[in-house]
Amino acid sequence: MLEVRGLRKEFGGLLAVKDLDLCLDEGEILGLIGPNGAGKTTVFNLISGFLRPNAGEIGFKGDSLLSLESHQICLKGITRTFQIAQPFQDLTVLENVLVGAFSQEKKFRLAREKAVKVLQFVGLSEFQDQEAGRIPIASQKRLELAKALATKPQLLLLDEVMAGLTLTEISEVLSIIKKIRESGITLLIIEHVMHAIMSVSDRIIVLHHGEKIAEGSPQRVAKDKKVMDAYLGEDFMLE
Amino acid sequence: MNGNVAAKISGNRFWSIKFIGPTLVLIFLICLPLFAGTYTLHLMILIFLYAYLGQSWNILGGYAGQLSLGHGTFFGLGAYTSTLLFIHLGLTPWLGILVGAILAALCGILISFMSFHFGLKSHFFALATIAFAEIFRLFANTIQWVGGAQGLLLPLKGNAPGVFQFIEKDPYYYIALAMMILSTVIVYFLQRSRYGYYFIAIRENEEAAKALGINTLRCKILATAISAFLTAMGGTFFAQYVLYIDPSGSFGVLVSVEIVLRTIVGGTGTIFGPILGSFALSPLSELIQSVVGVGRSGVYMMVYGAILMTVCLVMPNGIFPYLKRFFK
Amino acid sequence: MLMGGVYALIAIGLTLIFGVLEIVNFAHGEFVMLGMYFSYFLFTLLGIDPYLSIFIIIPLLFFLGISTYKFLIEKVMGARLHIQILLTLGLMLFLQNLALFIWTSDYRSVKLGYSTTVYNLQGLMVSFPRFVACLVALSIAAILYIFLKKTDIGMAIRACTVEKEGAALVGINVKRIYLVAFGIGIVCAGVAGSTLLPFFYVSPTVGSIFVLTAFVIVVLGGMGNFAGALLGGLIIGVAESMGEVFLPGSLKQVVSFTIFILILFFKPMGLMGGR
Repeated sequence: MLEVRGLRKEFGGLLAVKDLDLCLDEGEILGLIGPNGAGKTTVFNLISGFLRPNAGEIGFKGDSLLSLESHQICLKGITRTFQIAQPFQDLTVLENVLVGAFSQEKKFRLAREKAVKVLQFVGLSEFQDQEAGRIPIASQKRLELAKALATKPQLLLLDEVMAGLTLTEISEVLSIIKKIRESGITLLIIEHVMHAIMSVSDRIIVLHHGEKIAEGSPQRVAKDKKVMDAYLGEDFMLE
Repeated sequence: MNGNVAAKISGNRFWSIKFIGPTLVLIFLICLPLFAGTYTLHLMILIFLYAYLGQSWNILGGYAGQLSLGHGTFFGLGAYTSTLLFIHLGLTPWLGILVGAILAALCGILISFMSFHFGLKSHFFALATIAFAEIFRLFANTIQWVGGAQGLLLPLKGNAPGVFQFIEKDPYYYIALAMMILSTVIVYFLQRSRYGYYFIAIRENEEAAKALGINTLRCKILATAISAFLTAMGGTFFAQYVLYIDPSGSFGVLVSVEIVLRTIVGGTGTIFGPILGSFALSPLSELIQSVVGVGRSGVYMMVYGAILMTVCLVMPNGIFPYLKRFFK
Repeated sequence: MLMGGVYALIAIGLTLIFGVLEIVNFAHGEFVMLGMYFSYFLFTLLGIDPYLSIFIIIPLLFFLGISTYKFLIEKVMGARLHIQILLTLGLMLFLQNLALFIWTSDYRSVKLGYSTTVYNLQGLMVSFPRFVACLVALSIAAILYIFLKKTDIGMAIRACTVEKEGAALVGINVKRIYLVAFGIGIVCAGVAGSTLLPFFYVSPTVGSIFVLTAFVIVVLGGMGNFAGALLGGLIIGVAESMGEVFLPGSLKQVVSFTIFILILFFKPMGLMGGR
């Protein structure tokens, strides 16, 4: 479904992403992990059109994404969330999701219905009419997810949706992710909360200094020496 | 929440305070010419006109969040286009108003495309709009064919509704009132429409908007075009009301500032902001003018500058949000 | 053409403020105007030569600058872009018309012994005061450049221009840097005004004339780019004198505006790249 080949991104001398190859099949959940600064969010930015690569190919269901603008990529079926929650502050929670829903449904009434359903799906219905800027951070992150879902993506890029959540909240998000997969959406997830991403991913790719240093099932990657070396000094524990 | 309770009781939201208030005011305004004097009517006409202009600006500046400090460009284009067509081709301003509006919209599309295509920050758009307004003003000032610095006097036709001229103030009053209502209705429907939400999304967070499939460039251009179109029509109205236009009064900084200030004071991005701002500011400006006169001693603009700064420091969101909270 | 040097100084002040505070100071031209008026009164009341008055103008306008920052600018540092722009716009209106109110719109000028001195350099007529103005302006710019490159504060300012969060993390008091940078920017404007006094008329609207040109230069050179502002100033200076030859007086500004618009479209990052 998603094919990335030889992806390369430089920021004035600093190589953020180096010769990355990535393959994602439909229905998969692929986890992208790596120490801070490994280039994970940069990869998201490149796939979703917010940054242009210096070299490489990004193909989605056979079509190249390189010439497309970020909004066009969303309309093609890839939606990404942002690491730091970016709600539309002056709008209510429902209206935030509504903006996403409008990409699929032109009419106000229908789009609104869709937005309500999405809010129910992620469990944010109680906040429906509150100003998005005023709800708790954990809910704002959930809102990011809802906005993205409202655009009916085929591939969803989640950027650290679980950062800063309590264990209960994490397990809630995990069950939502599983529901998302069941509804037929493919997922590419960046995450630091190790136990969470290991438990839900089919496959893991590990990035370090912009390069892929390991790829495989969660169990295999957890035992990979290169991966453990990369994380040495970071306070993450691989299980 | 009185409004909602009233609505629930009557079962019909039209009876909520939200609608009763403005409706009463509207009825009052419609009846006003029956007992008000010429000066009052003149004042009201200006209030309505500036509310209309402010609302037009609001679409781009308030809802889409793109700060234009050169709306005088569109105002002037409207005023000059319809006037020139009238003077040289005898085209009735009722048609000229549309030509001017279309021309302004095209100009708006050009400016916004140039500014936003390259993803420039808001500063640049603001500067570009100022630059364009100045360029038009300079050209209008220099080229004799469009009147030069002396401006253009519209041929007096007496009471000639066919060419948008009236002797009495009443027709102008109602037209201005209608324009103000029209622009407010447009904003009302915009607020609930797909593009309305897109504009707001762009204003709040452009990157997030793009990530949700919004073509932000197209939206910004659209907002500019609509805003320019409406503003230009206001320019034509002004020309037909005052029967004299000149470069500074049409393209000048003062015009752009007057338009922006009303919406800022009233509340950007709110539907009643421009109206409130206009009702608040116009009487004030008339008061200052009658005490010290315009331009000569600078007091007028000094007060405007002070008001602008005060609003920025104390009430950046304008009066309307305060009122809204007060009534809740 | 020599005006380019003065333009450059004004632009440098503007670009410094934008580079550090990310604020577009619409009121910048008004400080040029104030510099002119202060020097004017120092001359007419105390007989101090405009060029000497610069030594007084610098601390005076620095004080004015940091006061403006403290009472006005600081309050909107975290606010939306619109509000920042509108605040400086309001300040511009206020200052310009305050001057109009206090000093009326009468054009004033200063006649010094050397006001009309012109030197003949191999056929090129060089006006003495303009030459000195350019020289002074460029000297100040040079001093500022050294200041930014060599002193601690200067480096702190440069750090803030490039990366604010990083600067804060290494212990730089960003707020104080804002204060200083703003003050310096205003001083540049004021000093430029002083250098103009011997050969340019003084009036409340003088600021507007220069501020627009300054903006063009800043955009031309890349917003926040010191060297760019310098280069841009010189380029605009040349462009304007060439424009004077071809276009009637009042259209001179059109040259600047056209360049401005062209840059916006073709090289929005300026000739020397952005921040």
